[in-house]
This record gives sequence, structure tokens and C-alpha cells, in this order.
Amino acid sequence: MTFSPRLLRLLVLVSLAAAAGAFWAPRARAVPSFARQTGWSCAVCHTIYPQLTPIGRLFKLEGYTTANYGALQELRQHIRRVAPLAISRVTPLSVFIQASDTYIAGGELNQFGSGGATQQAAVEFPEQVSLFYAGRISSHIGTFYHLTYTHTGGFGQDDSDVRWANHVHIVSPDGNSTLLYGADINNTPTEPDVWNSVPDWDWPFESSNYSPLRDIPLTFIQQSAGASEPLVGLGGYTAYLFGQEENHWLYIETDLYRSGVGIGAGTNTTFGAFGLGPTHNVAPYLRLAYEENYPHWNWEIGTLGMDTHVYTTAAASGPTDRFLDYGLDTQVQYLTFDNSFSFTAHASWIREIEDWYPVRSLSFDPNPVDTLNYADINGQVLWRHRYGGGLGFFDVWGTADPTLYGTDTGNPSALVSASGSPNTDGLTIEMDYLAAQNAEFSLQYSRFFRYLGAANDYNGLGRNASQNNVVSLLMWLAF
Amino acid sequence: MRLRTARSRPLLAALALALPGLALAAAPANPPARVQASCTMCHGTHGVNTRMPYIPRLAAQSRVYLIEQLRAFRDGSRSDPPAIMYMWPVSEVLTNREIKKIALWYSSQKPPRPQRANALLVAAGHKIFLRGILKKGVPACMSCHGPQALGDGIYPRLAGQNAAYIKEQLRFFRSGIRHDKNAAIMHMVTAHLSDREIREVAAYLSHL
Ligand code: HEC
Ligand code: HEC
Repeated sequence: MTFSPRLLRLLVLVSLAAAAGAFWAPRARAVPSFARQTGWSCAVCHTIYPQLTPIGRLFKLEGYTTANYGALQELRQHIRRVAPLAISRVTPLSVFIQASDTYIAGGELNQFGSGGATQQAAVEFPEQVSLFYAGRISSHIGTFYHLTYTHTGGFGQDDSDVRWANHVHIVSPDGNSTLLYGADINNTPTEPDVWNSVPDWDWPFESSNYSPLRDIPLTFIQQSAGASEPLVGLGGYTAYLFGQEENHWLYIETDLYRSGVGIGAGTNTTFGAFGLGPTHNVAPYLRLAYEENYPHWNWEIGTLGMDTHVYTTAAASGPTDRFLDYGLDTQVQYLTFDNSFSFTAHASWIREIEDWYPVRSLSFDPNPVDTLNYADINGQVLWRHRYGGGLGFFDVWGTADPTLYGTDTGNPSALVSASGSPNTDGLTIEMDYLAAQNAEFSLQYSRFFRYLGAANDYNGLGRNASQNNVVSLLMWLAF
Repeated sequence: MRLRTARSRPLLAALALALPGLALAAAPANPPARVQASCTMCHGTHGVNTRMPYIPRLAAQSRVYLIEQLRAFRDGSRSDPPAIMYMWPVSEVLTNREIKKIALWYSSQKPPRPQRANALLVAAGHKIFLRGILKKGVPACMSCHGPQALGDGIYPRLAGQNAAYIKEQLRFFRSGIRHDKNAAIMHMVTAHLSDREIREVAAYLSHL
């Protein structure tokens, strides 16, 4: 299949919007069906959703199988020697409804995110609706299965996993230790992770579809968040809990990702921003993290990496482009015994090396090698599970490349960089009020110091970064 | 008590004849399903592993005490904040029969290993444990918890318990937040214990 330059531009436009948009899409959170299964309030496993507490991390590592309510029901079968069947009496379904109202300083909402909105104070109800099947399937198998109806008008697969988990106790010189291990199938790199300093779970946890935050240039692994790329991963993980109070945790996860087919309407079917083809072979992902737990404090430090080759065109043959991503992250968390006050801070840095294969016939001619960096640092507080807030800074920087960010991308004018530079930085402030643990209202403000390379006149048509400053009112209900 | 496997029956019967006390403590071969489904995540299957410093070790804990506490969580009388948050929902659905089974399981597990602790704190804690603090009217802990802190009946085992958990509970007793049936005894004991002394006994007990 070949593309005309016009079609390519269109693809670039659509997929840039969709891919970047999906990254910032409101993502999975605390699921009421986990609460139904365990009887624990959301606050046992989460601070402000979807931020996990150490107990929440354990629950996920144990494969979502811990249950106090709704014992699995043995279905008696009168035929001998059939596989056993024990299922939940109550299906663990949950629903999320999110809504938003957005105001952009310089107007032109139609240029951002999914486009379309032309009026200031763009209201979305729903911004998205998510359906979950989340809980245990059998005593060792559990799932976090997530379908989302998006503003574009269809249901699609959102970040999900199905996992099998088990553990062994190991007698060590230090006392005892536990090895938790599991295997899973998932559709988003970093979805299986248990810290909120990785792309699929990073802050801000929610933002409007029309926020210019959604159009920041991002690395491949970040763009895949929220199942925004058609990936399927098969992976395994272990968490080794050691030390005399088992308060030292070592986490290792590896997955192999490959293009999935028939994944659904909500996900874009091309890779990244450039209408690329499917993966070449498989893309390995590796994650290492270490956590220490104290009665009130826990901290984590980790690293991750992913190496993806994708065909330059939809035909699964010919030359490939390569995205090599690697990063570092850390998280510090303070919790009172009843979690009535919590503070969590994250910092992360991801660097990507992009090896482009130019397709000159399609006027796709980027630099042979580009780099793109993303760094952020942010913190959130939550008091009495009612009043919360967050503050974060982010910075994107990398090689200037007019083909990717410049005037010939076919992007809306607010998303064009006159200098071809991806460099963007700014801050986000958020205030949250939780009327109930499952009903949250937030006021979010993002301010850009630089957008696509400059503070002033970044697109050569007189638009300043500050014109992209955005205020959103967000609502989230879970039941 | 219901025996799980036919094979262990003669042995247990013999034990029961010889040493009635021991027969009660004989370990069931497999953990009750409820332990695996509901408790392992935090207390470990054998109760020697706890996944967070403020979660208590249950291995070799007094059976009577375990039953008392699970009932106290269930009827809401043990109502310190972590009890409400973590243990109320867990215990709410337990039947008396399940409670007995679970208590038998954890009480008959091998005791946890001692934890490392600062030697100075351990020595000071040892003194308090043996003799109490006369001038403040703090009684010797060993008079109730036993000379090796192994506990018995309503008196919990403290040997090898997580230091962070011990410290937290002593503060809960001192402030009166933990006020289940037998907690009044500990209110008296802790009324005049300082934070420093709490650290000392916690170091000593977790080190046993
Ligand atoms: C989410 C983690 C979690 C799970 C799961 C859990 N517990 Fe607990 N458990 C705790 C915490 C935390 C405490 C300390 C409560 C306090 O400070 O009052 C505790 C305390 C206890 C105590 C009191 C021990 C003592 O020394 O006073 C018992 C007994 C107990 N749990 C039994 C169980 C049983 C039996 C199960 C399964 C049916 C279970 N727990 C499941 C977290 C958990
Ligand atoms: C007069 C008897 C008595 C004395 C003396 C005593 N205790 Fe206790 N202790 C108890 C009883 C009874 C309980 C169980 C309380 C309950 O059920 O709420 C208990 C509970 C505890 C607990 C909670 C254990 C758990 O697993 O939750 C700790 C810790 C403790 N005692 C430490 C001490 C220390 C340290 C001392 C000495 C300074 C001491 N005790 C002296 C009777 C005593």
C-alpha cells in the first residue's frame, strides 16, 4: 500500500491527535468492584485515585484475588473428571463516568486534542464512560478489564490486564521472605506496574480531551498509555519481599509486545504519530524497581526500557523505524495509619532515541536520528479523603525536526512549531474535592512556559505559549 | 476441633491422651481456604511474614487471644484506626467456626524469627520487661505475658512481633483508642510509659 503525501498528512494529523490525546486520556482508577470483593474502602488501596498505597500494590501483585466477600461458588457438575468450576456469585462490574468543562486562554479549542470543539468552556458529558470487569476469576486468576466509550463515539479497549499470580515463602538467613510471581497478558506497556511514576499511571490522573496538554510531543512508550496503540503484551513479573519485616521489595517485570489486531474502535490503528505500520518482531520491555516500606513512609526507585521496531508503512515488510525508550523514576509516599492524610511525590525521566527511515516518496523525511526527552516532578496531597491537591512541572526537550513538529506536518496551526522544536514545558495545579470516595470534582490549571520551541510566537503566526494555558473543571463518578 | 487428615488421626489421638494441651496446638496440614483467600495478602499464609511493618505477625500467637481479637474486630469493640480500616471488613463475614479454624491454623505455626534491634534499646527494654518501672507504677510485662513473652490464653505472645506494630499498639492503649474487652489491663500498664520506653520494650520484644 502506498500513501499520497496528502493522505500521509492526514494520517499524521489524525494519528498525532489521537495518539497524543489518548496518552493524556483520563485513565483507570480505583474500581468499586475491588471494594465489593474485599469490603475495604477505596482508601485502603488508594490515596487519590489511581495512586496506589503499598496495600494496593500487594493486591495487584497478588493478581486481584484477595477476597473477603462473595466466596467463589463451586458449581457441581455431575460428569466426572471435568475441570473444576468455581466462579463469583456476583459479577464484578463497575462503571466510571467522567465529564469536563474546558477553557483555553487563547481560544481555538478545535485545534487541540480530538478537535471539534469550537466554543470556549467546551463541555463534555460524558468525557468518557468506562466499564470494568475487575476482580478475581478463580483463586489465582484475576483481571482488570477495561472498555471505554470515548468522545469520538465508540467503545474501545482501554488499558487492561488478565493475570495469574502465586507466591512462595522462602526461608532466608534474615528471617523469612516471600516471592510473589505472576504472568499476565496486557495491552499497554507499564499497565501492569504498581507505581504511579510510570507512563500509564502518571499524574495528572485526569485531563480534558481539549487540553493542549494532550498535544505535547511524547515518547513511544508514553503514547501507548491507555491502550492508545494497538499493542498486546505477554509478560511475567516477580516481586521479592525480603528483610526482617519484609519491607524491602524488588520488582522485576518483562513483557514482549507485538501489534494486536481487531482491537476496537477506541484505539487508533496506527503507531505513534506517523501512521506507521505494525511492529517488526516483538518489542521487549524490561522493568526493575526497588521499594522500601516503613510504618508511615515508603519510597521507590526504578528503571524501565523498551525497544520497538515498527514498519514504516502499513504493509508488514520493508524498512523499519526504531524507538528505543529508557527511563528512571522514583516515588515517595507518606501515609498516616488510617490514610487520613497522604502525600505522594513522583519524578520521572524518559529518553527516546528514534531511528527514522525516510520515505521520501511520501515526503516523510525526518532526521535519521532524533532524541526526545520527557521529565516531570509532581506531588499530591489528600486530607480526610475529601480535600486534595496536586502540583507538577514537566519538561519536554529534544532534537528539532521540522518533519515531526514543523510546518509541513499538516497539523492545525496551534500545533505547529516554526523552529521544528518539540521543546515544551509548564506546570499543572489541581484542586480536588471528593464529595464521597467515589465522586471527585477537580479544578485543573495548566500553564505553559514554552510550547513547541518558544514562549512567544512559537508557530510563526503569532501564537504564544501562554495562549494555550488551560483551565478545566473535571468530574469523576465511580460505582 | 476437626481433624483434617485421616492419617494424622492416630498420632493426634495419642498426643491428645498424653498431652491434652499439645493436641490442641497440632497443626492442620493445610491452611483453611479462608486464610489463603483473605489473610495471606497481609499476614502471609504462615503468619511469620507480614507485608507491612504495622501488620502483626500471627504465627504461634495464643489461640484464645486470636479468637478474642477476631471477635473484637467483628463486633467492632477493637476500634483503633487500622482495625476499622483493615480488619473490620475482613472479620465481618467470618463465622465462629471459621474464626476457630483460622486461630488454630495461625497459633500452630512455627514462631517468627527474632528481629535485629539496637543493643542498648534491647537491654533497657529487657529491664522493663522483667521488672517494670517501679517509681512510675509500671508492672513487669512478664508477669502476664510470660517470662519468654510467649503469651497464653488472653495474654498475647509478644516474642518476635514486629517492632513497629508493638509501638503502635502501646500508643493506642496509652491513648485509649484501643479499648476492646481486655484492653483495660493494658491502659493501666501503658498510662505512664514514655515514648522512649515504648521504643525500648518494642526493640526487646521484637528481638526475642
Ligand atoms: C489489608 C491487610 C490485612 C488483611 C488482608 C488481613 N489483615 Fe489482619 N490485620 C491487619 C492490620 C493492619 C492489623 C493491625 C490492626 C490494628 O492495628 O488494630 C491486623 C490485625 C490482625 C489481628 C490482631 C493480631 C494481634 O496481635 O492483635 C488478627 C488476629 C488478624 N489481623 C487476623 C487476620 C485474619 C484471620 C485475616 C484473614 C481472614 C486477616 N487478618 C486479614 C491487616 C490485614
Ligand atoms: C496485668 C497483665 C498485663 C501486663 C502486666 C502487661 N500486659 Fe500487655 N497485655 C495484656 C493483655 C490482657 C493484653 C490483650 C489486650 C486486649 O485483648 O486488648 C495485652 C496486650 C498487649 C499488647 C498487644 C499485643 C497485640 O498483639 O496486639 C502489647 C504490645 C503488650 N500487651 C505489651 C505489654 C508490655 C510492653 C508490658 C509491660 C510494660 C505489658 N504488656 C504488660 C496484659 C498485660
